[in-house]
Amino acid sequence: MTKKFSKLICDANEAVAKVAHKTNEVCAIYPITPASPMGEHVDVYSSEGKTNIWNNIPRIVEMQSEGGAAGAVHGSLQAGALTTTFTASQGLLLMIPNMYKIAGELLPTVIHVAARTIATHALSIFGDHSDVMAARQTGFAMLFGGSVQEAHDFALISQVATLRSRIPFLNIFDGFRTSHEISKIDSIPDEVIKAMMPEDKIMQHKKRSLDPDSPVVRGTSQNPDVFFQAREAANLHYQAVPAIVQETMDEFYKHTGRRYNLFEYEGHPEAERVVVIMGSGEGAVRETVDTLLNSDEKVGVLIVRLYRPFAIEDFIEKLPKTIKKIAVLDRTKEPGSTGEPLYLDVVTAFVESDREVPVIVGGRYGLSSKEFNPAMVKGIFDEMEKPKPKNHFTIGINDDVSHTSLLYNPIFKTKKTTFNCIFYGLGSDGTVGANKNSIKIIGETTDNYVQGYFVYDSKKAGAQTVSHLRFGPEPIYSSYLINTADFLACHQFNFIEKYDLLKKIKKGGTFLLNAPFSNEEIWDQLPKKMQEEIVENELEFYVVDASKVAHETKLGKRTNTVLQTCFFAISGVLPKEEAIQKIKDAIVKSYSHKGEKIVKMNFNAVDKSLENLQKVEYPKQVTSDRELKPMMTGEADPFVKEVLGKILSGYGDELPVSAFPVDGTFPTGTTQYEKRGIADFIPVWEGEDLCTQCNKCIAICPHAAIRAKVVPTEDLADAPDSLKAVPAKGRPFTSATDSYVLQVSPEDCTGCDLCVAVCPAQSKEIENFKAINMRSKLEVAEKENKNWDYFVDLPYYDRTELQITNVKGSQFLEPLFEFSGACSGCGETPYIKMLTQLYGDRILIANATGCSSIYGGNLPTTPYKKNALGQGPAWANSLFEDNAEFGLGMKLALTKKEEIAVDLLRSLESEVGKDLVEEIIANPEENEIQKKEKLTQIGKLKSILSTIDSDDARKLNELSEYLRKKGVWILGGDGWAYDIGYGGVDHVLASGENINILVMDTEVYSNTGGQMSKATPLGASAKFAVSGKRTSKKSLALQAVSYQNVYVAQVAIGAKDLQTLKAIEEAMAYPGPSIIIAYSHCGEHGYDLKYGAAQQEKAVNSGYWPLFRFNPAQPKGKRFKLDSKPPQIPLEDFMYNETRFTRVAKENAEVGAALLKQAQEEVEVKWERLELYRDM
Amino acid sequence: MALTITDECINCDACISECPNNAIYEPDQEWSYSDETVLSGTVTTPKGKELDADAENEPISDEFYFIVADKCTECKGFHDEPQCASVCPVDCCIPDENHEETEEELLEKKEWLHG
Repeated sequence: MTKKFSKLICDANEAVAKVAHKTNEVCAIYPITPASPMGEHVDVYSSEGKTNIWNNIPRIVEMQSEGGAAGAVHGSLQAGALTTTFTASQGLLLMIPNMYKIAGELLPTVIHVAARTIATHALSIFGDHSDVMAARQTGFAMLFGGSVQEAHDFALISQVATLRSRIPFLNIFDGFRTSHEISKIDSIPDEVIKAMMPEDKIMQHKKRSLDPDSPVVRGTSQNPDVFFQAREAANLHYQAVPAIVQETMDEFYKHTGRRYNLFEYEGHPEAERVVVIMGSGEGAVRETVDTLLNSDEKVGVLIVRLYRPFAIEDFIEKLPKTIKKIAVLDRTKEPGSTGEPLYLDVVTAFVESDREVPVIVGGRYGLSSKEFNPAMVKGIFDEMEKPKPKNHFTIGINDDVSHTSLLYNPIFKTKKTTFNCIFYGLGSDGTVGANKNSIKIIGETTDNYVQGYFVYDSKKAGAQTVSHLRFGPEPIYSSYLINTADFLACHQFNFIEKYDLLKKIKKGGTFLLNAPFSNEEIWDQLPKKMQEEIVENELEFYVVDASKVAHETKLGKRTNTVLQTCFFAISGVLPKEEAIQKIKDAIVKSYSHKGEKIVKMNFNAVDKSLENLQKVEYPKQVTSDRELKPMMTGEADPFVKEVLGKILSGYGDELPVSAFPVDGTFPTGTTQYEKRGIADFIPVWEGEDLCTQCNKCIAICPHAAIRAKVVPTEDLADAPDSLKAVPAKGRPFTSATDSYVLQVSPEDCTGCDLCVAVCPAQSKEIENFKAINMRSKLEVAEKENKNWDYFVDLPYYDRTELQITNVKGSQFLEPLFEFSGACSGCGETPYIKMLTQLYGDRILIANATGCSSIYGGNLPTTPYKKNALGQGPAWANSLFEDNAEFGLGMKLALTKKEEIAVDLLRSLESEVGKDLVEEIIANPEENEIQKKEKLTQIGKLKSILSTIDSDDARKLNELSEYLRKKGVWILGGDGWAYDIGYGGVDHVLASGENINILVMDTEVYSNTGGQMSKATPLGASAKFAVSGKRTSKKSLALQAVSYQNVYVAQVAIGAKDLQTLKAIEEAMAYPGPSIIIAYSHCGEHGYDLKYGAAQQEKAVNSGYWPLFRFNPAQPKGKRFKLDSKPPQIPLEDFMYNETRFTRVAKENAEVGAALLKQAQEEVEVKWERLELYRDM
Repeated sequence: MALTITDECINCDACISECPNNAIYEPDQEWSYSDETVLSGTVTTPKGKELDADAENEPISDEFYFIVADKCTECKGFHDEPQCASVCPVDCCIPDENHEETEEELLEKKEWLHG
C-alpha cells in the first residue's frame, strides 16, 4: 500500500540533496560533473536559511579538491558532526585514502555518488560504475538506486543504516541517466525523516567524538604484532550491516509504503533464465522481463540494491530454484581480471551456497552512458537460450576485434505505456528550459507521471540538445532513450538539412517544425529523406514560424513560449483546451509579480502562436531530390572522414571497435573539416579603406575565424570578385605591390561580436560604421564563403620577415589552434591561439581537465593543428589535479631526448663534421631566423647521416627531431591552478625547470558550471557561494614572484594585447619556470561577452586586475614592471557591469554595499603592496 | 612643434610606417638618431647639443608607441599634415606642448636629419 505523499518533480541530484541537507550538519563539497548539483543545492538551501530536521542550518564548505573534501569529512566525523559529501568519478578516487580511514574507524557517513566513468584512454563525463567499483574495497557499504525515487529514498535509508551500523555508506545512482533525469516522485516528509533518524545512535556518534573533556587517541601506527588482529576486530559490524539495512528498509516501508529489499527479484516464479543487474539499467531489464512474461517465457531479473557487504544468503534465497542460466551485467570494465566485479560476486555466492551452480555468464554494458535498452536485454535473454552462451560478452556495441559483443535485434520493443515526445533544439535556444517547464505543468497539475531526459552534445557553443519526455498514468521506469515518439518537434530549422530527425517517430505521429515558411511553402523546402519519412509514416505535420511570432509579440528572440504552446495544442498529451488553460495559468504564476502588462504580453503570445500554427497538407509522394548535407567538408584522410565524420553525423554508436585506435591517439587539426555555421550574424570587412590593419580583431577572436594575410597583389588576379584587398601598410610590406586581405570564415564564426567591439577604426562620417561590422549571415554567407575558400589557400607571409614583437605582426602568423568548440566570445582561447601563432610549431601542451581540455580535445573534431611543414602543438590531458606535474614530466623527457641526441651528435662529430655539429648545438633558436636555420642544419645532418653505415648514425637519423628546441606549456584554468592543482603548480615552479604555465583565470570553475574557486573575487556570487564570496581572491602571481627565480606575468589581452604578447615571448625565452595569469572573461560572469575586452579594460583601469611582469632575467631593480596605472575608475564601474556582482547587491543591498566597500579598500591595499615591488 | 603619442594609444602600429622621419618607435624599443637618417657618429643638433647619433637610447615609453621629438618635423617638408595624426584611429597623436617649434625650425630639423 503506497501512502499519499506530496510529489516532487526533480532529478536525482536534487532529490538526494534534499535528504542530505535534512540529515546532516556539515557538507564538505567540491564540484565534479555530474555530482556538482548536489553541492549546489545544499549551498542554496543553507544560504536561504533552510534547516535540517534539528532546526540547524548545515554548514557548507567548499574544499580545494575531493581529497580535501574527504579529509574535511573525516575530521568533521571524528569531531562528532553528522557530515556528508557528494562526488563522482575521479573525485571518488581522490577520496579513497580517507575512505579507508573513515571505514577503519567506523565513522558513520554517507557519500552520495552520481556514478561516472573513470578516465582511461579518454575522459568521459558520462555514467557507469567504474568509479564506485574502484572503491568497493575501502570498507564502505554500497547501496545502489536505479531511479530518481530510489536515489531519494536510499539517501535516507543509507543515512539511517550508517548510524545504526557505524559502517559508512556510498549512496550510488547512475550519473546523468538518474542524476539528471527529471521524474515525478513521492517525497519523504520531514516527519518520516525525524521518525527514522536514530537519535540514540546520533548521540553515541557524538559521544565517541574527539573531545579534550574525554580525550582518546585515534590513527595510531601499529606493528606486525597487532595490526592484523586489530584489522579483524570490526568484522561483526560488517556482518550486521545487511540485517540493519533490511530492517531500515522495512521501517521505511511502514512509514511510506515503498517496499525495498537488499535484492529484488521480479519475473517468473520458475524462471530458467535470469539477469542480475544494479543501477538504472534495472528499468530496461524489468520492462523487458514484463514483456517476455506475457509470452510465457521463463525469465526474471534480480536487482542488487545492497552491493557491499554482499549478503550471499539473501541473494541466493531470492533466486528461483529453477534457474538454469544467469547473466550478470556489469557497468564497468576490469581489463585482465577473471570477470567484472558483480559477476565474480555472483559466482562466489553460488560456489559458497548449497545450491547447484547454474551456468553463469558475465557481460559488460552501458560504459560511459552507452544506451542500454530493452532490445539489448532481449538479446541477452536470447543468448542465454543457447546451450553455451557467450561469457564475458559485451552488449550494445559491435566488437569486431575480440568478438565479445552479442548480436541483438534493435527492432524489439517493450509494451508502450507512455506518451513519448522528442524535441530537437540548440543549447541556448530555450528548448530544454521550455520542456522542463512543460514537465512541471503536466506533472504538477495532472495525475500523470512524467520523465524528462536531456541529451547534450559536448560542444560549448551551439550544442545540439535532444529532449526526451515521457508522460503516463503509472510511475515511469524506462531508463533509456525514446525510440518511438508520438510527438516530435524540431526547433531549429537548419537541422533538417543535417540530421535524420524522423527516424524515431511512430506511424501516425505528430511532427512540429519551426520554420520560416508557411504550410504551403514548406514541403518544397524539405530534404528527400524527411519527405519520405513523413509520407511513409503518415505523419500529422505542422509548421509554425516561431521567430516571427516571438518578434511580433515582443518576446524578442525567445521562441520557447511559442513552441511550448504549439506542443500543448497539438501533441495530445492533454486535451487542447485544458492544455492551453494550463499554460496560461503557468504564465500568471510566473509573471504576475512583474505586472499585468507582462502577463498580457505572454497571453498574447499564446494566442498568436495558435493562430500561426498551421497544419501541412502534403502530397502522398516524395517530390524532393535533396540529400542531407554532408557534415564534413574538405579533403580529409579516410580515418577523419569515415570515423570522425560518422560521429559528427550522429552515427557514432554504429562504429565498430576496429574503427578506433587502441591507445586513445587521434590526429590533430580536424575542426577545419567541420563547418558548424552557428552564427546568425557575422563580421564583414566593409570599411576596408577605414581599416588601420592593426589586426586587433584577429587577436581577440576566440575561434580564429577572422584572419589577415598579406600577399603580392599580382597573386590575387584569380581572386573572386567579391574578395576585398587593400595596399598593405607597415613593415615589412611594400604597399605598392603587397595587398592586405582580412577575411572571416562564415561557417566557423560563432557571431560573438568581439572583433567588431575592439575594432578601433570607427568612421567619422557614418555613425556605427567601422572597418568591420556585423551583418546577417543569410545575406552575405554565399559570397563570404567563396572568399574564405579562396583565402585559406593563400600563403602565410614569411615568418622570418614579420615584425612579431608587435601585435599586428604576430597576427599574420598562422594560428595552430582554430575553430574550437569553446563558447561564443570565450575569453580563454585568444591566449591559446596567440601562443600557437608564436610557438605552436615547437611546443608540447599539458592541459588540465576543464574547459580548455574539452574545447581542446573533445571528439569528434579537435582544434590544435599542423602547419604546412607538418609541425604543430602536441597535446595531452592527464587529469585535473596533476597537470603541472604532467607537464614537468614532459619537460624532463624533452631534456633527456635532447641530451641523447646531442651525445650521439658529438660521438659522430668526425663523420658529420665539426662545423655542422657546433652549428647545431650552438643554435639557440631564439628567433624565427635561427629556427629556420636549425631546420636546414638538421636537414643537412640527416643527409650526411644517411650515408654513414653505423648504428649510432641510423639512430640519430631517427631521433634528429630531438635536436630542435622544444618547449612545454602547461595550460589550465583557475580551478586547477588555484585549487586542486595548486600544490603541483607550486612544486613545479619551485623546480627551476624550464617550463611555462598559462593559467586562464575565469575566476570560477567554468567547466562544471560556475562554482567558486580561490580565484573568485570578493563579493562575486558563484555556485557554492550564491550569496557572494566573503574572502579575497589570492594573488597566485605574487605568490610565484616570491620564488624570485620564476618569470611571472599577470595579463589581460582585452586590456593590453601587447603586454600579453610580450609576456608569452618573455616566458618562452626565460630559461627557468614561467607562469602567466591571464584574465579570461567568461559567460559565467553574466554579461554579453561582446563587451569582454571592454570589461577587461575596466578590470585593469579600476586597479582590480593590475598588469605586471616580473622577469628574473633582468638586472636587479628592473625585474618588476608594472604595466598598468594605479586605479583610474571606481571599482564599481567594473563590478556592476557583471551579474555575478550585481546579483549579490540585488538580493541584499546592505551586504552588496558592504562587500563593494571592502573590495574597493582591498584594491587600494593591493596597490600599496604593488608599489613595494617596483624596486625589485 | 613636434607630436607626441598619449596614453590613449592602442598600439595598433598604424602610425609607425607613415612617419617620414622614423621618429616613431614601438613600445620598449631602443632608438637612435641615426636610424634611417643621414646622421652618424658625433653630431650637433640644430639647437647646438652635441651627441652620438649611433647611440642606442632608452625607450621613451614601454607601454605605448612613442615619438622622438628631436626626430619629428610634423611631416614638414614631406606632407601637408602630420601623417601619424591622420592615420591614428583613436586620435592620440597630438602636438607636444613641451616641444614648440616654428616652421623654419622644423624645416631646419628636416635638413639636419636627411641632408
